[in-house]
Amino acid sequence: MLLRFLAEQDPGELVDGLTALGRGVVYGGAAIGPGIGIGLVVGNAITAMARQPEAAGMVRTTMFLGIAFTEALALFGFVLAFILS
Amino acid sequence: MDATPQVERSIALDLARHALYVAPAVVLVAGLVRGVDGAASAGLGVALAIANFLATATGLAWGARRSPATLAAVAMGGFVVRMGVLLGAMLLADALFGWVDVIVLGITLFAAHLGLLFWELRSVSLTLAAPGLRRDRSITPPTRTGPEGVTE
Repeated sequence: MLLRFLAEQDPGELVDGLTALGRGVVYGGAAIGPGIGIGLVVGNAITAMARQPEAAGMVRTTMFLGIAFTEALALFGFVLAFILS
Repeated sequence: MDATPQVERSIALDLARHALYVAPAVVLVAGLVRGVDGAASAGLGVALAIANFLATATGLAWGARRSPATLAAVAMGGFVVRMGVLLGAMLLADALFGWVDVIVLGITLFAAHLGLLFWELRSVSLTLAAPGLRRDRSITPPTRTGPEGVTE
């Protein structure tokens, strides 16, 4: 039924639709890994700060950079989704 | 967690300072490759990268002042919000301004984000406890002296 529906569509519309779908999959898929990564970074940073409160400044420095580097992966998928046409 | 210095702010301001140094070169290269529209889009990309860093730093510093739970919530929620805001900003710029070259904007955003982080890493790895320092302003470690005053 789905194949029949797709066959009845204008080829241009089908390509546009699949491109939009692909963009969503690329962006969504690229955001999953960084989401997990940021969770790990923050979780471990909080554990470290709880164990050694005097090292909080150093831990937060590392955490900020860790978050920013992990976020770069999401930005990569984000840019790739825009480049897809 | 109140007594700790605002390290995120220091790093973000240092990143912004570095971005101001490289922005003219980035805009020039984009202008040579993609014309005036590309140059303007590259400038917008660098501005979005700086805004993203500053927003991250502000959120994390605020969360760290409150509690560890708030810090975790701000870090995870902030990621989702910032990605949404960046997507919205790019779509809005594309829809409102005809001159925006989305490909140049996206590539500049990614390259500026990663490049500035690697630049900042040089300073931070040198002085992890006091980020945002230039290499020439860094504190040299004290030398240890032996019993007869001989430097080891």
